[in-house]
Amino acid sequence: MLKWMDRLTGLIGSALLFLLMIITFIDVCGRNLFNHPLTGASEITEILLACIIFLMLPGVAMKQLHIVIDLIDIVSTRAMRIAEEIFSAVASCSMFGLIGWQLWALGDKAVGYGDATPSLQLPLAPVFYFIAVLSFVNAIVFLIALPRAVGTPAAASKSDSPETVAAPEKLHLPV
Amino acid sequence: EAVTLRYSSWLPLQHHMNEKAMYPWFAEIEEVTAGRVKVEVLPKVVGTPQSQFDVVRDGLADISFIVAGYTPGRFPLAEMGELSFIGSDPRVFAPAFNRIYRKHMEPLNEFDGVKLLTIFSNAPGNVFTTTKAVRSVADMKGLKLRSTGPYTTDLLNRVGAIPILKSSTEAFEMLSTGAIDGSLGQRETIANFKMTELMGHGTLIPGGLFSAALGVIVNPDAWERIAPEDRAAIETISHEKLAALGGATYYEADRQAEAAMRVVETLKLETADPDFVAELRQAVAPLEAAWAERAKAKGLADPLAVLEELRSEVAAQEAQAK
Amino acid sequence: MVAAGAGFLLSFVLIFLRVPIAVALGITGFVGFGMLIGWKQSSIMLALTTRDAAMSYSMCVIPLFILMGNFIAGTGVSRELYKAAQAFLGGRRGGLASATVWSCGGFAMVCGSSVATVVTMGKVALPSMRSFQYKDSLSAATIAAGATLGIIIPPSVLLVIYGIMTETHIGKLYAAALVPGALGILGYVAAVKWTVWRDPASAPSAVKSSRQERYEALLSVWPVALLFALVLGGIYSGIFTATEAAGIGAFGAFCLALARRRLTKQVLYDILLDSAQSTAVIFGLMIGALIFTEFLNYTGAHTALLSFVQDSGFSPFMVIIVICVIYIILGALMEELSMMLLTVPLFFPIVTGLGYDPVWFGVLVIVLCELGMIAPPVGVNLFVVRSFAPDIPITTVVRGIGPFVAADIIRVFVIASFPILSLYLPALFFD
Ligand code: NA
Ligand code: NA
Repeated sequence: MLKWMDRLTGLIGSALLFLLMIITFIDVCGRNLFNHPLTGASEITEILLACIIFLMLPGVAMKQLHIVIDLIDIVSTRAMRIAEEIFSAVASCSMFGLIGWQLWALGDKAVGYGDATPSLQLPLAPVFYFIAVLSFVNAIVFLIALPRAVGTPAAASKSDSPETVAAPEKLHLPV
Repeated sequence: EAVTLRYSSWLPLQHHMNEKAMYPWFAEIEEVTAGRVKVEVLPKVVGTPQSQFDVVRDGLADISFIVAGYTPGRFPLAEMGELSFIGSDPRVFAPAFNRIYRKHMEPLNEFDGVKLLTIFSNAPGNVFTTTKAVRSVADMKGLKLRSTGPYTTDLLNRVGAIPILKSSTEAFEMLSTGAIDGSLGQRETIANFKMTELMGHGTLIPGGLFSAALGVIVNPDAWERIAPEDRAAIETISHEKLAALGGATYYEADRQAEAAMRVVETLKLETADPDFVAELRQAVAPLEAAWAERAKAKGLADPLAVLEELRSEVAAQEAQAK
Repeated sequence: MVAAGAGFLLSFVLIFLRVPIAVALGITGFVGFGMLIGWKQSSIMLALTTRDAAMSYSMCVIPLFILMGNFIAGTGVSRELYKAAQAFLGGRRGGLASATVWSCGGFAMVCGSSVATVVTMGKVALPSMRSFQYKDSLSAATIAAGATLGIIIPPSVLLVIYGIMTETHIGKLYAAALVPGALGILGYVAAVKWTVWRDPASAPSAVKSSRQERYEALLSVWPVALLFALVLGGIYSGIFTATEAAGIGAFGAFCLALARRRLTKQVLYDILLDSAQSTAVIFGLMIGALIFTEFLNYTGAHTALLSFVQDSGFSPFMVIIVICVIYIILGALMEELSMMLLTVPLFFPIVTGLGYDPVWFGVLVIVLCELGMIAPPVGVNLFVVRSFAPDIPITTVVRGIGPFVAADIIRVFVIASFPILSLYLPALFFD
């Protein structure tokens, strides 16, 4: 179920990113070559970006790709390490849970005001509800990933040799 | 005890609207309340320009100002201040719009959730182009012009121009190399974004092609914390008075911008002739009708009559001022 | 001021307790804002900030530049770049290491990320240097350092993020980064030469190339030159904006990969997925940092620090030196994007308040980030080298990095002392 969901969100997120690229390309070419920019390109871009980010966040949490500083092991016992992981998962879960809850409220407000994008008049509320739900999913994934996090070699306090600092899967650094 | 209101500004802190209108008004607030109400200016905007209404309604900041066009559809009544041919002199039309708004529209409560302390429209919008002089609607056909908001986008589409929806910095880049042909804008805005040197022609539209409706809003809970007599004292220096102050700073900024433009030899300013104005009036009529529909849906019985009232009041006063 | 200090302290404690940096910043910002303004307001602030960051047109430049870099990495041009540099420089002692630096610089012209540069160039350069008996300490350090050019030579994801955060003109930032980027190449080449001079055994052999080979190798890098010209030329000629340039660049790189028949369905999917994931990681961080910034706005720290600096009698340049030292320390301890997101909101108003140019400061910050990426203990690039060469112990990489760190420190000082180096080109292109 989890794997299946991860594949699905990954697939949609990737497709939307490709679409984002194509839209920018069409907009620029349209403006410069045919004197006709793509109507609403910037508002579609904004919606796509939000959707891509929130579609990918649960997978990022599951695979533990968020940037964590593994500087030194202040604590070296396995128990302390597990406590750290639990604390970290609960903190992450609360933050994204809170964000999801308030994004949902933002969706309710957008319904009330009838908020829509300027040129295409796309309603904004569904976007807010969509990313709110994904934010909840993301929050839960932090807890689901917890056993895995506690079980990884990084957590198993092999900390005396500096070489274990670089668990390759944690090196998914974006810049 | 003293109440401190925290002010979030999406304009730069040194912008003339802050230095010549907001800060003096804050000082006056402190004065009329004998120091019981103070305004603290935050170093940066809370949230983004587009989110100021939400920011104040939810109490993330206590006081801010908003542009009606930034949240299309939310403030259909205030959008009247953004329509074409309202007036040429902000010193006149800013307070006049405030009076008309309060008389007909404020009771309909479109700013539900915040306390509205003033609303006014800022300065008349014109057409600026890099190479081609715009003297008729036909001249605007096919021109790529930067649009400043939903109303001007509709307007440009209406006259067959191509609206370019880019931020001011992006528009600057595209203007400097001819990727776009010009920008709609107030004289003050064009100067503020340093676009003066990039423009070859400016067509000033008597009565203004568009404007921006600015509202100063306060969080209701913060407002309730202020003693009733202090609230009353603040209200007397807000609304029409603050609108007039805002209008005056925009008038002055517009005047200075125009003086600077006249010095630039490569930029020719001209005033649209009556034929062009008549063409434009015809072109925007359907946009006004569409606005009237939205305003009606919000509960205003006869929007076009209210618009007419505003226009004739402004026209009478502008004539008198001359 | 006290609140701001407590906020920074709390976020550092959380970060070093291995809470994801995004969450550490976000939680601190939430708690701080809640205590200063109110809990209800603070939770709403979380959502507003998240929405405004995620639904921002100007920020779509980030995924698109990442995508461009990943497509480019998939085209295999890294091999040609390295061959071209090797044809010209391979003949001298240590020439393969110098060639690695130059080809990293070339790759940086089409890739905005330093990590992607390490991985892509490293996979080509490391086996080659190993086959010529270069010491691992030199090879790995050269790759780690050379790859930091990815974030200074435009396009650069970090420069773009700085530009968005501070509302600084991205085209100008790119122009300003060109000379410091070139200085970076020269500095790293000097570091290679110094290493080889101290320890001739670290680079025992050389590869000579004929004139014909050089000519052919140079010709083969045209796709990179074309894409670089397309992206920067488009920005400077105003055909498109910096934001749009990212989309055009990504599309160009996509076409290039297609033309070279590198894109199977699976490869395309992997590239897209990887880019989308990186995007989510970056935006997670940015959202956390923006939440923290909203809290910072209410602490009065900006004004307090600025007036402290003004009253302290420090000369403006001394303030810059202090800021540089703080960045060097943080850079050694932290990941660089997080460092930038955390500190720029605080330092930027001070630096500009002292009358310094925001474009110059942006470039200085990026060079400091480059330094941080190779400074142990937390030098991101040192670890990334090990992701494709796990048999090289981190201590070996660290042993070789010294001269490169020294070159970066000198470069920081030069760029801080002579703003003209950064500011001449933007003035030439845009004013
Ligand atoms: Na680059
Ligand atoms: Na570092």
